Formats: sequence, structure tokens, C-alpha cells
Amino acid sequence: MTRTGAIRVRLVVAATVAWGSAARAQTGVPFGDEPRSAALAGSGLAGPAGLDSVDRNPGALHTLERPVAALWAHGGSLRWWFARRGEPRDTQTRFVGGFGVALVAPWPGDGPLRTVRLGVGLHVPFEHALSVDAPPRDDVPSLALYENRAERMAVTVGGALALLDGAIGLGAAIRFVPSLRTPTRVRYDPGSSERRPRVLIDLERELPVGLAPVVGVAAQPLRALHVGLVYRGRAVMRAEGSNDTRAGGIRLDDPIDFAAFVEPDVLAFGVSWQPVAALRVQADAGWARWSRFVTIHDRRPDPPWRDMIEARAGVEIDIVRSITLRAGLAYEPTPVPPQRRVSNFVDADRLLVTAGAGIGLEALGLGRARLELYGAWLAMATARAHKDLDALPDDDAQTPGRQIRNLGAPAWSGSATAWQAGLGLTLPLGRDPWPADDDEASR
Amino acid sequence: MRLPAGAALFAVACGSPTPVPPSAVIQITPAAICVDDAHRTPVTFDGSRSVERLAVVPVAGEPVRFSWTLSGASWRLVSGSLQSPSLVVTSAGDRPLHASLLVTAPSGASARAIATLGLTVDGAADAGCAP
Repeated sequence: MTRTGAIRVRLVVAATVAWGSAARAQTGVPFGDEPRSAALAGSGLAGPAGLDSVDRNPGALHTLERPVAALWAHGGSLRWWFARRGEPRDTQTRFVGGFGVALVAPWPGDGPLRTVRLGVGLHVPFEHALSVDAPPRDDVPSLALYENRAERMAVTVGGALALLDGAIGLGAAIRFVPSLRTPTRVRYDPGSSERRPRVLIDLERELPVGLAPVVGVAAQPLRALHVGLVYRGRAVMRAEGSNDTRAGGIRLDDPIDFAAFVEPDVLAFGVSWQPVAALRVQADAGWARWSRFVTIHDRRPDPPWRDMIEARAGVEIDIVRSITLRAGLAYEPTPVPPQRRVSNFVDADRLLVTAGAGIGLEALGLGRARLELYGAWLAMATARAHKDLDALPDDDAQTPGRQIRNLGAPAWSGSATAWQAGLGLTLPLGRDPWPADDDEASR
Repeated sequence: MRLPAGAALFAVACGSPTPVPPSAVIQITPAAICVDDAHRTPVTFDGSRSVERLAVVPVAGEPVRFSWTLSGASWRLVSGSLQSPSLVVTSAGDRPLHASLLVTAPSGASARAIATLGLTVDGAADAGCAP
């Protein structure tokens, strides 16, 4: 007998917004970045300060001179396929979208806290604040890196302290990771009759909020050069709860314990170079600790994943005063090793190509507001796996001999593509107009 | 840091409630066949224990609709159909045979179960397979 397929936990977006408020859903990949950051393939942790700094590297906030707010929305498509050798492809496509808002600002006034910078960001998916799809078996083919990560709420609150007369920024932030806890107890009502049996159900629901830290430092050793270093702690959403059912002498203890691994521990370094006022080039490299990855069933995959170095780069050019063009490129090697045993994760090296533009809206009488646009395309190499029948575990200890049932046997291939487009509005705040050449944070 | 869900969820009340999904159940008999069985062993895929709704106290529900999908090893239908509660097939046994059962309730809600007819690859003699 097989337990029914998937368990999906859905919390209502509007409700969850009530207890949280902050920036980004992913690490430079679709989906969820603020438009300027998304157009630069998620690069730019060195600074100068941007709306994504609170999550990317809060230390970079130290260069912020004016408050800036942004609103954005994005939508895109995620398409992936899986095919066992000699069988037709099973293709799945789904829409992913969301909204975001961010605010970064220096501490107001000229008091002793004038060297403090603050930031807050919020990203909310279109459909679910928290969604966890849990397949019933560890060998179900899945797109582990994007399925549950693509739909989650992201809340980040952070700040920075400018040191050495603003030459160095030291920052920290907290990312809030929503989870669900729902212990359940089921009992027969001893007072019920045989003709009308009744059941007592004790169902509790809690929304525990996990915390993932971000700590970063940024510096400007030369006028045209920014450097930064950041550590981001791993983020895992959980859906868990006991499920204790008793009927007379029969007891069924069937807890749920699901974990959606959103982001690994990351240690990243970045540089940003601005050789002339109208041009900025930036690049990041980060060590991602994927070896701590856990499956949706909160177990280490078999075989376990590997740590990886990821690279991102972006370029930004002001072609005229009111128009900025951007492009980015990221390379993400797969952390998934050759899968000769149980797991069937569809994942291979990935390439992210992005482009975008920022358009000043002064001509429309909207002051220093800017419209930000971007598009992103992610391509994955074809993943292939050949199962080692001698290494597959016995799937049925009750039956004589060794049984194999793996959904990837004897071999399979698979891949994925994704595209995304988004737009946003960046709003410099405060009464004083900004100098024309000093609007870095608003770009 | 913990907040009661009830305090947050009260703010939302749009849309109709989601229909209660049915329960999809697959039983396979026998549970495994010998590797390279070559269509010798009839295997029953039985979904008749699927019900309109899962309940602690068994209740007679409305009949559900069945839709089977078989993939993996090549197979031949012996009896039943891909829309019947159960069916009997044979398999080449060159790889596992995977069954996916979609059960749809009259309300339109559906649930899917997957199960696999295993292959006995080692200890074949113990399992009654020809050497």
C-alpha cells in the first residue's frame, strides 16, 4: 500500500505579511531579486549601496547617502523535463511570480548615530507565502534547486555602521524564514455510541519563524574600487508536526517532517570597479556549502551533495543621463554528484544571462523616480544519471532477494530552462534633490 | 520567535474552501517479479481501496474515477483497463514498472499515488526465480 502522493502546505500571503516585513528570494537566480540586482545577475555585493545590499551584503550600505525605496513585480516560467532511457520525456511547466518592496536609508539627523544605515526588504510570491511539495519517495525525480525555493516569502532586516570616516562598512542582517508546525491528535470520543461514532481532533497550528544571519563588510580602498566580503547563513523552511492517532489499542504515530532547503551557507567575495563615471563593472565569487543540503524529507541525499564555487558578473552603463543599461552573467556549477544510487535530482551546471535598463522619469514630472526593467534567462546543461544496480538498496526487506524499484533505473536524462521578466519603480526619498552624478543608490 | 497562526489568518477570507481530496491507494500483487520476467507473471495493480475522502471512521463515499499511467518496463494488459479500479498486466522485467494512479472525486478534487513493481535482482533463487 502506498501513501498518497504529495502534501502541500499553503499559507495565505496576505496573512503572513502581517507578521513580517523585507528583500529577495534567491541568490542571484530567478526568482525574486530587486530589478537592478536581477539585471546584473545578482552580482554587486561589494557595493556601492543598492536596494539589494541589505540582503546581498549589508556592509555595503555604508556608502548610502539618501533614503531610497523601491517596489517591483516579476513573473516567469520554469520548465523542466525528465526521461528514463528509451522512454518519452515528462515535461512540466509552471508560472512563478511575486512582488517586492525595499527601503534603505541613513539614520536621520546629525547625532551620534549618523554613521548608521538601515535597510528592510520584503518579497512575496504571487500564490503562496510558504509552499512545500513533498513527494512520497526519495527517488521521485525533482528539480530540487528551484521547486520549493521559487515560492517562498523572504523578509530581511539589516543595517550597517560606517567606520574610519566612511571608508569601511560593517553590516549585519537577519533573514526571516517562515515555517509551519501543526501537531495533531486524534482520539475516539468514549462517550459516542456505536451507531454514531465520534472522533476528537486536536489540531494546533503555529508559524515559527527561523532566523538566518547575514554578516558582511565592504570597503572603498580607491575612489573607483569597492570590495566586499559576506557570509550568509543557510535558510531552511520547515513543515512539521506530530500526528498521533489512537483507536482503542491501536496507535498510529505518523509525524510529518518536511524541510525545503532554500539557500546554503555562502561565503562570498566581490569587487566593483568604476573606471569612469558612466561605467561600472562588478564580479562576485562565492563558496556555497551545498554539502549540508537536506531533501524535502529532511535527510541527506544519497549520494550527498558537494560544496561549490559560484561566479557572477555584471556591467552597468549610463548611455545618457536618464537611461542606464545593464547586463549580467552567472555560472553555477551543480552541487549534485553522479547519481548512481537513490536520488534523482534533475540538476546540472547552470548559466544565467540577464539584461535590463533603468529609465529616469524626470521628463514625466516624477522627480528622481526611475523605472527599472529586466529580463533573465537560465539554462541548464543536460543532467544524466546511470544507476548502478549493484549499489541500489533493497527496497523491500519483506520479500526474498533484493528488490529494486528506483524511479530512475536504469538511466535517465533531464534538464530545465527558466525565464523571467520584471519591472519596478525606484523612489529616492527626502526633500533635497540629489546631485545629478550622485545617485548611485537609486540606480 | 513564534506566532499563533490563528492571529494571522483571520485577516483573510476570500474564495471558496478547497474540496477535500480523495485518498489514492495502490496495492501490487505480487510486489516484485524476477528480472527479465519476459511477461510470464501476471501482476495485479489494485486501486480499489481508494476512497472519496480519508477518514478515521470508515464511511461510504461517492464512487471515484480512476486513471492509471504505467511507465518504465514494457507491459501488456491482461485484464481491466487504465480507467478501471484494478488491472492485471505482465512486464518484460527489464526495469521496474511504475504505476501512477490519479483518483478523482465527484467534487473534482483529485489525488495521485505512485507505486512500483519491483525487480528481484539478487537472491533470485530465494525469491523463486529461475537461475
